[in-house]
Amino acid sequence: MSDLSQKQRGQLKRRYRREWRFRLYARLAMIAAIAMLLWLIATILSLGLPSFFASETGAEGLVDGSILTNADSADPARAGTRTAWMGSALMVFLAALLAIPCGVISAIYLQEFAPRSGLSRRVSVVLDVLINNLAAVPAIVYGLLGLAIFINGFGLARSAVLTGGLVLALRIFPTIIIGCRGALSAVPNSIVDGALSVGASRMQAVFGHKLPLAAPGMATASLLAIAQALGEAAPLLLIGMVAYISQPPDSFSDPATSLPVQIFMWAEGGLPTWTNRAAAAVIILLLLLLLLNGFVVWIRSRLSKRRSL
Amino acid sequence: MKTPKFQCRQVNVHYDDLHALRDIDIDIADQSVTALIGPSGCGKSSLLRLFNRMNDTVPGARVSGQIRMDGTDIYADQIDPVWLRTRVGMVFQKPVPFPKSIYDNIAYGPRLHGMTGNRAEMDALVERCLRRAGLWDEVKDRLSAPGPSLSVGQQQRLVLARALAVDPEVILMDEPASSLDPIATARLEALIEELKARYCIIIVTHSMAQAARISDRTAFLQSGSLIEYADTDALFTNPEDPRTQDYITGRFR
Repeated sequence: MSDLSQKQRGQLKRRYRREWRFRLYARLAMIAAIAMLLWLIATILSLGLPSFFASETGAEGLVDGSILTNADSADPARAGTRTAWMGSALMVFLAALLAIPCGVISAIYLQEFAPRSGLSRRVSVVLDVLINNLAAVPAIVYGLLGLAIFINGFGLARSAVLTGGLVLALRIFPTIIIGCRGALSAVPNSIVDGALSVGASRMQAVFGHKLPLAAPGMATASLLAIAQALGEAAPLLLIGMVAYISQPPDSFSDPATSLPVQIFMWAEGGLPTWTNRAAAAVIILLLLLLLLNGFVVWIRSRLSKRRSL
Repeated sequence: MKTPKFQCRQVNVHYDDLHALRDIDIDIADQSVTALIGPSGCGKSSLLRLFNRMNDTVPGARVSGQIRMDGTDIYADQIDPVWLRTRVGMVFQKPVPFPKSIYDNIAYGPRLHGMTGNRAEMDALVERCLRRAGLWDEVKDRLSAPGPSLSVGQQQRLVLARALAVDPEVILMDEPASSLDPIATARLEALIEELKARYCIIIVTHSMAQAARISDRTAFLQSGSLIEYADTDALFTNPEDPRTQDYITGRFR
């Protein structure tokens, strides 16, 4: 093998230098992003963690669950998130119950069964655009929609669990459709072709062969949508969830509040004692989201292990 | 030729704006191997997929003209494509066994159509199909192993057995050997040789040597048109059309 010429050597060196520069920029960008995030989390922890330990009500340094078990109160030291997380749980449950079946079925229909020729194809394209648009619409618009339709139109109660759940369901519906369609389109069509070629009907091919392979992705999309609903404050504020509510909801028609709304209201006052309480609530919300995302990872690995068989 | 299995008259296929097949007239004989050759994008796969109406699943596909199987128009309104596909089986380029056991892969089709009554009948059917596809000796001790765990060559014979299980009259093959090594390819070709006594086989292939080895008649397509269709020996030794001559001798423009 002959030696590299001087020119080739110089060229090679420049190429390596270019790659080295890219790696440097990429690392700097990554570090900047992660540093911001860590700073945010550190701030929240330093503000919020003391609320989990008894200081004003009991002995110093003891673990104190009052932030979880107490209802809201006018006194920051006693104010807890029980009302908020119970409201969140009920509303997210209702939203998931309504939006996931509708979203999953719509996604299956649009992706696999919707007619793909002539005029109806154009209708499908328009639907695609509309759904993608809906997912990108600011959350607060869904609050306006809820206000106009559910409260002013159907006469549902302001700030009720039912109203909040409905608004959240609308909010996550397009997210679920888009995620589930993505999961379906990731499954190669050859699977369906194989089933069709031995005489399966379209429905048998899709439900028997495509869905099992798309299931992990569809479950992930649904859980991520639930996480989105859990973190949503703006649309709930618009349907009147700004009142002081200390009584946890007993039924779907009771007025409620949610964790993000509670955080918003506590942080709004600007008093340091309330800000600390808000930071504590943020920690609870973050832990919940962490739990949900961990569950997503777990369900993905579990389901994809089963399908490789 | 005896009465042909398929008769195509003035068949045109469009995918949206793409005119994939132009005025195809072709008769395909029963109990023989017909090879479709031609450059990529010439329409040979489109032609193959006409015979079991797999084009129906392609968005924007339009088919015109007449395709008769045993004299019956298979694109008529009263023909159910699901029924047609039990008569006309298909093996694809890349074998995609169902993520089930070997046994269940074969039994899937017959179960769909309620073809066998009891377990013993099904066992016999599975064995018969695996034997016919030349896979029985290799898998008879592990019928409950997952289909995708087989080698690619075995998978290709598994999906062939799966196609045979619904008792078709025709087997369509779309480049069945393109992901196989020479040994697996030779096995498959020997198998095709055996199967043609019983079935009408239509095969799309990129390998002209393969077409020459296994087929009785060969059709050469280019840009969606049927350029030449003749007995394989005649087409490869003495093509009538200069375009066929150029293609089989490797001169491309």
